[in-house]
Formats: sequence, C-alpha cells, structure tokens
Amino acid sequence: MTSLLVAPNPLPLLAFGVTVLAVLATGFARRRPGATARTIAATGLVVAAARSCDPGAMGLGAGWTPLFVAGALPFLALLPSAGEVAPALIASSVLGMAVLAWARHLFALFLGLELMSLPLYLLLARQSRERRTLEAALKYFFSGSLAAGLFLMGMALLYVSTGSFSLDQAVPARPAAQLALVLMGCAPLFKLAAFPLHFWLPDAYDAASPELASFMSTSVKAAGALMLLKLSVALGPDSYLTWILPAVGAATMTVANLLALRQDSLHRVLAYSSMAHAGTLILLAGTGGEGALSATAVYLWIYLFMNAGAWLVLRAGGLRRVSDLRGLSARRPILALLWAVVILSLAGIPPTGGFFAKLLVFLAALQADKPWAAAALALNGLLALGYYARLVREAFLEAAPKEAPAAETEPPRLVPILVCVCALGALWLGLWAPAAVGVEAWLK
Amino acid sequence: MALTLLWTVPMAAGLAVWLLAPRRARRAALGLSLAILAYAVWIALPFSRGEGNLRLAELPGPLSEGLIHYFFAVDSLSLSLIWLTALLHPLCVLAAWSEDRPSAYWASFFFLEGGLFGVFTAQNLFYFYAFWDFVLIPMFFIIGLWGSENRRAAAVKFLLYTFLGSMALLAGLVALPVLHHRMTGIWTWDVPGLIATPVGATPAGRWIFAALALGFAVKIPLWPLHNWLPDAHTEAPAGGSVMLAGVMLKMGVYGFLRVILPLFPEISRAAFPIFGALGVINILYGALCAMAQTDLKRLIAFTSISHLGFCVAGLFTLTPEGLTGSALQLINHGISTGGLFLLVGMLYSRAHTRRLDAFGELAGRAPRLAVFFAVILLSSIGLPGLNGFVGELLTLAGLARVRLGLAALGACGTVLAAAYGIPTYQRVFFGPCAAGSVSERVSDLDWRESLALAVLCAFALGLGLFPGPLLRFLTPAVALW
Repeated sequence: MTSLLVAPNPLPLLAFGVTVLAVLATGFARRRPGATARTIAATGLVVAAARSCDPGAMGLGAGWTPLFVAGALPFLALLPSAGEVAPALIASSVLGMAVLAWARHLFALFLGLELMSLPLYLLLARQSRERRTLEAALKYFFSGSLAAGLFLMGMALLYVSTGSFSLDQAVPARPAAQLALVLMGCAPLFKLAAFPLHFWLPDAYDAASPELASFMSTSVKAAGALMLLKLSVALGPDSYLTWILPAVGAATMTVANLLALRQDSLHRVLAYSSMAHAGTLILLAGTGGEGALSATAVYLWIYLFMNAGAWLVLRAGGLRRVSDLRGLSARRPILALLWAVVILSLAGIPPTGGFFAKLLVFLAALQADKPWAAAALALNGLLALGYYARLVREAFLEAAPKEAPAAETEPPRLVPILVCVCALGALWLGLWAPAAVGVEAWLK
Repeated sequence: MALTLLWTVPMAAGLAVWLLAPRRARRAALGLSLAILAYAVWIALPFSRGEGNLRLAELPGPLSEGLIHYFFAVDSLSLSLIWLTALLHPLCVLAAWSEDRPSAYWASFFFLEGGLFGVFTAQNLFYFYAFWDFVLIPMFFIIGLWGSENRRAAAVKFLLYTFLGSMALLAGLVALPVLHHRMTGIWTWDVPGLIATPVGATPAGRWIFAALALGFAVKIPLWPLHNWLPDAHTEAPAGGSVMLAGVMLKMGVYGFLRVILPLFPEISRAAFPIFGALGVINILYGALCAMAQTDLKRLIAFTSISHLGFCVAGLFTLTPEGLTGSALQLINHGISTGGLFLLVGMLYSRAHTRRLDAFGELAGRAPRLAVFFAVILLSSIGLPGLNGFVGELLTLAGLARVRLGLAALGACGTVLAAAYGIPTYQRVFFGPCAAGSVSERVSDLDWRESLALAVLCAFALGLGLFPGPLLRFLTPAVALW
C-alpha cells in the first residue's frame, strides 16, 4: 500500500510556487493589479495542474491537483477586478493543497495543511465587515488551529514511538503510534466537518459568498479527503480506523441530513449537504483498499460539478433563503432546470452523476463487509431527499410571490455559463462514467 | 439497437414536444405516441423467429463481462408491458386533450414512457435500477404541477415514500453481485447471469431477498406500505393516474417476476405463507377501504390495491396457474383501472368534483359515458366474459392448489368488488340528483374521449373472450414453477 506514495515529479509543485510568487509580484503593477493577478493566478494554476496530472492513475499524489484547481477556478473567475489580495490568497491556498498532495513527510503534510488553511481564514474574514462574518471567520480560525495543534501533538507522539516523521513506513501496531495517527486524523476531519467537529461549518458557509463556499466545499474538502486517505494508508488495512472512520462517516451524514431538514437559509442547507457528502467520503475512506482511493477520486470529481453548480445557482439568482426559490421556474426557467439537475444529482437520483457516486459508496461498503454502513447510507439517502425534494418543490411547485426577491447586484455574465458547465458536467458524468469506469476492477 | 431506440426515442420525443408551442404540442404528442406504439409492435416481429425466452437481446460482448454492462433484452412479459404502456400513452393524450401547459405536460409523459421502457427491457440490474428511480422524476412533476388542490404535498409524499422502497432496493441490488462474486468469483449484474445464484442459500441471501421485496412491495403497493397510493392517485391529473396505476404499479410485480423469483426460487417458495397472506390482505383490505370512500378517485385507488393483491398472491404460489394468471392480471388491470381513471378524469374535468354524492342521473345526460363506464367497471370487478375475470380466476386457482383457505378468502374479494362497484355505478348514473347539482354540467363524451374508451373496451372484451393467445404468449416468460 505504501507504494501509492511514490515520489511524484517535483517540477509541477515548483510551478505552483512560482504562480504564487508571480501573483504576489503583481502588487507592484501600476494598472489594474487585481485583474492581472486574477489572470496570472488562473493561468498558472491551470498550467501547473495540467503538468502534474497523470492520466490513468490518480494515486495519492500529484494526480489530485487538477481537482483542487478546478474547484478554485469559479471563485477566481468571479473575483471583482478591483485591486485585491484575494487572487494571492487563493493561489497560496491551492499551493498548500498541492504541497499536501506531494507530501511524503509529516512536516510537509503539516506545512501543506497550514498553507491551505490560513488564506481561507482571511478570505472568509474579508467577506464583509459584518459582525457575524468576523464571528464565523474567528470560529473557523480557532477550530482550524485546534486541529493543527492536535496534528502536531500526533506528530510528536508518532516520533516518540517510531523515531521517524516519514509517511512511507508502515506505522507499527503499538497503541501510542495508533493514537498518534488518530490525533493527526482530527485535522482532516475538521476540514471535512465530521461530526462532532462540525460546529464551525454552518456559520462559515452562511457568512461566505456562494463562490467562496463553493471553493471551501469542493477543493478544501477534496484536500481533507486526500489527507485522510494518506493517513489511513499509513495506518494499514487492519487498523481500527477501518471501523472508526465508517462510524464517524455514518454519524456525520446522519447528523448533517437531520440538521439540514429544518434550515431556512439556502447557505445552511447546502452547508449541511456538503457535510453529509463529506460524511459519505469519510465512510468511503474507511472501507480501505485501493478501491476506496479510486472511488473517492471519482466521487470528488462528480461532487465538484454538482456542488459548485448548486452554489453558483445561488449566485446567479441572488438567492439567500429557501423561500427565495419560490417561482424560480416561472422567473428563470432555464436556471430552475439546471438547479433541478444539480439538486437531483446531490440527492443521488439517476441518471445524474450523484447516483453513480452513491452507488460506488454502496459497493465499497458492502465489499468491505460492512452491511450496517450500507444500511446507514440507505437511510441517509432517504433523509437527504427530504430536504432536496423541498428545494425542488420550492423552485417548481410553489407559486411565485407577489414581488420577486430583489437581486442586490446583477451577477457577472460568466455565472450562468459556469452553472451550465457544472450542471451538464454532473449529468454527463452520470451517463458516461458508469459505462466507462470498470467498477469491479477496484473491488479487490 | 432496436431496444436502445425503444427508450431513447421517447426521451427525444419528450424534448421535442417540450420545445413546441402549446398549440402544436398536443398533436405532436398524439402523433409521436402513436408512432412509438407502432414501433413497440414492430420490434416484436422478429420475436416469433428467435430461440429461447429472452429473444431480442442486445449484447455487446460475452455475458459476464463486467458489473455495469449495457445489456437490454425483451421477453414476452416485458413486451406485453411495453405494449400496455405504449397503448395507454396515446389514449391519455386523446382523453385529456385540454390539459393546460400541454408542452411540458406531454413531455413528462414521454420521459416517463422512456423510463418505463428502460425498466422493462434492462437485463443489467444497474440499468434496471437507474430507470426504476428515474421514472419518479417525471411522475413527481406530473402530480406536483398538474394535480388538484393538495398536489404539492402529495407529490412530495409520493417521492419520499417510494424512494424509501428504492433505497432498500438499491442496498439489496448492490449486495447481490458482491456476495455472488465472493461465492463464485464472477462479477456480474446481469439477471441471466445471476439466476438461481448461490447467494440465495446463505443467511445474507435472506436479507437481500427482504430488501428487494421491500423495494418492490412499496411500488405495488403491498399492505402495509400502501399509504402513498391513495393520495398520489387522488391528487394526480387524469393522465398521471392512468400511467401510475396502469403501468408504474406494475413495476413492482414485474420486479418480483423478473428479479426475485428467478434469483431466489428457494426463498420464494418458503416465503409463500407471508406473501400469499399479504396478497390476500391486499385484496380484502383494498376492497373494504374502497367501500368506505366518498371520493371517486380514492375509491378506484383502493380497488387498484385490491386487484394487485391477486397478482402478488398468485405469483408466490409458483404454480402455472398462479404465475400466468398473475402476469395476465397485470395487463388486465392496466386496461381496466387505466380506463376507470380516464373516466373519472372526464367526469372531473366537467363537474370539477370527485365527490360520489355530487353525481346522479348521469345515465340520461351522458349515455355514452354510462355505457363505457359500465363496461370498464364490470371488467374491473371481474365479470366473466370481460378481461378481469380471467386473471383473477387463474390466480385464485393457483392459490387454491397451494392453500385452499387463502383462495376462499381471496375469492371474497371478488364479491366485495361487486359490493363497492355496483352501488357506485348506481349512485352516479341512476341515483337521485338535486336541482342545480354538478350533474347538470356533465355533457356527453366527445369523439376523442369516446375513441380512447372504445379502444380500451375492445381490449377488455377481446381479452375476456379470447385470453388464450395472450396467455400462451406470456407463459414461457413466467415459467418459473
């Protein structure tokens, strides 16, 4: 299993670093530094991701960076072009994720984690000067710091018990070493908002703009899943993570789906929806084996499209509360249709990609001999449809209110295009992926 | 290719109708649905020449090539259900000609039809399940957008309740190949590859059986999982009720016949006491509830529960009579209950009420309506000479061979059917009618509505007098005894 951590070519990682430096250098530009920084960041990240992708095998390394960059692109593209430091922050955060992907050493892993997280706190705090935004950012910062602290503690404990900081060696089955990995595992679980480490999530997503929330729930969650997989691979297939993780995952999605049922803010509904999907990913990571890696990667790619699509619909329609959806099908029929596609995909209804993703998790859980996990998945599929059906019902079946919700500002023209790309991507992955992917090959 | 076209053409037709102007959408819907009917009949032509039971197969490679594997085929059971679907669709268009927002409405019907064709032809369980779940979406919108007052709640209830069954079904369907692989070393999700799988003999096999049965039972619906049906039917528009009762409920029985009985013959045999009893409970409970209804559509919804009880009880007997009777009952029920929902839809579109006691003296006002209603209702009750009788008789005969007591109880259902059917007819068509009641607004049928009902009556009479050809046609597909 440790062969999955083979050292990737370091050059693309350098390209990520150079991109960050170049973006920082645009601060000296005289004219329109914001727009220049945005362009350089987007180009640099795409080129670096393209250089590092390895078709055929995502493994546990550089192959993940296109996923991180794809999640960041809508956010970058929708930044206002006035002078901003946001492009540099986004680029550094993605650089942190790339470091995570390349990391084979615990210090590198820690460096990547912090490089990814710190810009996020700033990005969230810069959303507005409102009190609740600052509160959310502070909450996010404190819980993230706690996670980092636990990670460091775990590192120290591991060094004490094995004398090494390398992820390449199998961790011995000594209690201290295993405890060390559990402590380190808390860091990605914080990022994925696993129950009971999720309390920062609804506030943070509620305070964030849809684009930022989309970045946080796609790229950052993908990085968290990657980190979790690296740790669980290091721990070996027989460790007790193989029952802790599915249990945590099942609890996470159940709690998230129950909480989502009674929300009025669309941001909170989607926040809990992303927590539920993260729970599914954690469960999947706990099923172990190479199959879990491939399935997680496919799941994340599908999730990227459907989740980003849902957030971008909020941006396109200026929607904030669930009741804002009323009459959407009459006001903006095409937007409503795309909304239905991404929501049904999140709910896992065929023929969308979400269904295939859900099916993969079912298969992995049953193949790993965990029928109770499959039962939890089935129950949660039903619970989740409870609020997804509400989102579709509000948009299509409820009569339009007298006055349409006042859109604060006209969204950029790019937003509808991005929504189309995401919704069609979610649909296309559902039609194409099942036939193209040889599922049984993963289920060793 | 022929079968791929069978499900893709309705989908494409749906998209086309959706984009048409409302004025043209109705005609286009009628024309396209008739064309699909013609195509569904046409694909059966090479059927008589083939070998074996699954005759019109589309196989891109060897049978057990992989898990998710594009494998579609038809046998006589699927073909009969495909014909039923394709027949009911144009009749819905004819009978509900004046439905508002016709482009989107009829487009939903085409998506529904395509999905149903997929369910009835898929031989790989991945595709089977994908289509199984997909059909919920058009039906959700048909109920939620075109239904009557409580349509929104009914649509959500329909979606969530049937999704409960779907989730159980999915868990069972996924566990099946995993265990099959563990025991045989072969990854397959194809129904022919899984027939009489060794999984059935293990304790886990019983759980899989239970999960699958739960999934299918919600769809039929089998007591005590029937709660979603009356609401969905009452609130759905006429065409939606026709497709829901006429075809979508059949998916459950089809699932039992296609998946559960062939894959788990031993457990099915052992489970007869449970499912025989549940089937008989369905018959009696549905009939008794129907007697208590004051809403015409709710009444018919409960008769639907009652009639499908015959199917379930019949197929678990695993006798030739029970199985063929049950398959025949599927088709018969589609014709008679589909017809009843069309008729009630016509009454509702004229009187804007479904209350039984609002009507009276309709026989004089609408003689054609009265005649068609009588024929379809009697076929639903099971009058000898009409189609309903044959299926019920055969399933009861099968039941009697295995457990005489259950058959006797089930036979009471036919008596109860007369007890709710005849008084209803008497009330609506010959009952007293106060001056100024809604009955005065009821005009007789126009030619479109008459045509739709005449076709159904012709089938009711034809299948009642000459059930032999269809029975012989269906038998090889359900020869599981």
